[in-house]
Amino acid sequence: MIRSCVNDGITISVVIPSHDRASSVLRLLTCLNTQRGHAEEVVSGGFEVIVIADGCSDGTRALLQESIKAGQWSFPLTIIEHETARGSGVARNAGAAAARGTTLLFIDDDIEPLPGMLVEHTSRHAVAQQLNQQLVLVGAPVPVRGAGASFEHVAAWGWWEQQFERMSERGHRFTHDEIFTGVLSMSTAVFRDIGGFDEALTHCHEDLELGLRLLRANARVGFTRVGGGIHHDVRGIRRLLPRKVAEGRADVLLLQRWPELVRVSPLAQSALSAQPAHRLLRDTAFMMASGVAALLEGVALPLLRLFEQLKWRSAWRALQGAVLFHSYWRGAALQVGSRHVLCTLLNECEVAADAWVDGTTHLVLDLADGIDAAEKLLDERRPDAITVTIRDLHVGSSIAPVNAERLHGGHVRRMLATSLAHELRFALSMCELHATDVATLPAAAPRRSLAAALAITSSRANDDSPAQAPAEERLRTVRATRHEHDG
Amino acid sequence: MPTAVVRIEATALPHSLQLEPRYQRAMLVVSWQGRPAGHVGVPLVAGALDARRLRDAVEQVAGYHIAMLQLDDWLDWDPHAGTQRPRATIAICTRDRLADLERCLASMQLLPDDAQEVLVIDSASRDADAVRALVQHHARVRYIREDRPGLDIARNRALRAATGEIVIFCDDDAEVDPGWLRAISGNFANPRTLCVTGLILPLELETPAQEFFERTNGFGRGYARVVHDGITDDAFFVSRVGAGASMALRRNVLELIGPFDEALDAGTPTKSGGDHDYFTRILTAGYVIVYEPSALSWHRHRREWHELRSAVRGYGTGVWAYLTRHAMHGEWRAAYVAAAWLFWQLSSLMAGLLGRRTLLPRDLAIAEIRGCFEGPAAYLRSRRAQRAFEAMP
Repeated sequence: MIRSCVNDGITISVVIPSHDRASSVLRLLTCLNTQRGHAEEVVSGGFEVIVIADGCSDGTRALLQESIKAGQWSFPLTIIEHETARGSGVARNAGAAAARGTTLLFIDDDIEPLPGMLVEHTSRHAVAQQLNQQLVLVGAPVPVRGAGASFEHVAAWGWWEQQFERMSERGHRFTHDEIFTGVLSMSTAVFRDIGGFDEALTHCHEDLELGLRLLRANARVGFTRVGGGIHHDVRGIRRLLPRKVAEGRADVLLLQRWPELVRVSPLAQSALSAQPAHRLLRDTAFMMASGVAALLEGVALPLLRLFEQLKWRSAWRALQGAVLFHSYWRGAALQVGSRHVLCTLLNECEVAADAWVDGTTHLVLDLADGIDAAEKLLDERRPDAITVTIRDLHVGSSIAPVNAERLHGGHVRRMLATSLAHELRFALSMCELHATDVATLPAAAPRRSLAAALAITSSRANDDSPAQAPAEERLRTVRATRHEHDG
Repeated sequence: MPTAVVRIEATALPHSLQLEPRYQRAMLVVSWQGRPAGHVGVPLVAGALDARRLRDAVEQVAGYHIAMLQLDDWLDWDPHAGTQRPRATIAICTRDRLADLERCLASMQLLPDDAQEVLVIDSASRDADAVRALVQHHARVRYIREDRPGLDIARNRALRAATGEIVIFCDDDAEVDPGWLRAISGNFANPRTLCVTGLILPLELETPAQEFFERTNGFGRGYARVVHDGITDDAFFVSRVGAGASMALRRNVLELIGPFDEALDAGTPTKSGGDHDYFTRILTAGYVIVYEPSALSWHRHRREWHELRSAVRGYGTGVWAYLTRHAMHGEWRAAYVAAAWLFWQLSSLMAGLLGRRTLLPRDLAIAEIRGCFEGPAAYLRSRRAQRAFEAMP
């Protein structure tokens, strides 16, 4: 291990695993160097950078050593070298072990950080610390695309952007497969408490596995575009195919480690697909020798180019999907061995998933006390699922996904406005009809009385009553009528 | 039989309606706190609608939508809350429609002040001085003269002259609602969204031509927000996306997509198709177009039947012209879409000839098919003219 200088009181440790991408690492460090001045005010204790040269044969270590000697960096830089490539999970663990900061920021070596990245991560963690939250902050690694990008680039860029769009939505409930290590920060203590990356997953999905454990440890996930970077991902279909094989392998390992994931695993989902094309691709993945698969890929890749030249998008999408699906299943077949073993594994996983659901925490959330109170309660209790009521009236329930964040206050309005909207609207109408429950509603309504919103319905009940009577006045009328009846 | 277009605000529901006795029908456009929720046609008796029928109509057409808006209000839920609205430039491309332009500019004055800029692009109007004088009567409106006729030429001029982050195009024969600007500008949080279109309803339905246009070619695309994603959706099925009469673009579309094709749309032999061409180009590049029904504007449809026939023929020409352009750029799906469209038109005409009830009367169906056949030649002629102009010293 080589350290450029010693600096105590470091706030944030930037950990960069790298394998044969010396120029990319230099670009990344240069970007961090330019953030220094900008970040100083917020990153009070300063930051350090740790690069792990993981089996590099392109002289990464020598290049970085020279740059340290030349005094190129204004931050402390540590270089850790692994003689042989041991995988990014192992490399990141080594970096985290050497880190001195209270916050860890993992950045992939092909990312070019945006100017405000360090400030964003540091300030968001400082706020989370004040609120006593365990924040895991995912930065967007936005892929580069030019105006005349190929189908492949547009598809890859579009896929990433679709993820970011979903993750940016207000009240989004994050899942383990949205915790990418491209740009990812968390408290060093939390990372160490949960045991770091699983080193058995050497090439793929180690981030997803870590994500799952973070979610189980009550982490609260955030997403930031400002704290992300430009992703110089040059992965064409030829590089995407081995990646898909690795994903197939990793998904089998994930299921063996976390069987309850069967409910959301792409492996299990695609294993259940009854589409004839999927069945054929799946079955041939188990039967086919690797030479035959390579031959088929040799036919498919020129066809993809032809479809692109003809601008035949639908055919291109279908063929690309089929090629990737087949590669994924080749990976799964290599890892699991046979279809029989896979069936046994999936059956065992189903049993485990049922058991997991039995162990989830469930909270009854009474909206009669107001939405703000409901949010506060969720922040305190962090259940897996909720049952929503208004006093004795059942509104609806949410499910407990095996791979999602535990619920917190930030989720509740979105859930009520989307997945439980119809049930809630019906329940509120029922409350309006039954005066006992109506009486509780002004307290429940955070900004506007529901009665005011229901001007149409109420005016319909009595044609002579003014449709625009103030809400409180109309409620008083309802109560007065009740008292008269009671009397 | 004229139809009255009446805006009904559900939070201030009138007890009953009393309109001019000449109206036998009314189109009720229902909104909830300024947000459009639905519209419905109702019969009138001597221009009147009683309280019970009015409430029934409102509930029937917009009850569900309003219930969901109420719920959002009760929950204080706005999925776009906290997102910063980009500064907008509003561009009105006009040609020889002084009275319409005056009404359009008057509606712009009712928009909230979000530091927007308003440009009037005078696309080779015969009386430029009158247009300039009208513009000078309105505060914060900039006049730009474009001597070459052509709607797409004017649109490109607006994109280059704009200072706002987004450029919102509004037709000169349209009026905008006070909530139009904010409803549109609130949809650009997603960086992949390059275009937002809005709901366009008829300003008036005074003549059979206007009624017919609204029924068969109306610009309304419903009351649900729709996200059209170029990664997954068919880029050539763009009539559902919206219309250029209310369309906002990020200003950097010039770099990402390129300028509008100046051989297309009004003022050229192709007569229309510029907006559809641009929607297709945005979607084929993998970007997103959002249809936002809260962004309401009102369009004055053509009053006379011969104007309608000419417009329908122009639509046929424009659609085939824009599909010709894409086929020439190697998009073979364009040829398929053109053939499918023509087949549908011919089937409809045949059905009409056989005495069956069809959407378009015979003269309009024939006009549209004639337009289709004129499209490819019109595009080639228009392109040649553009190139000849560009080659001029």
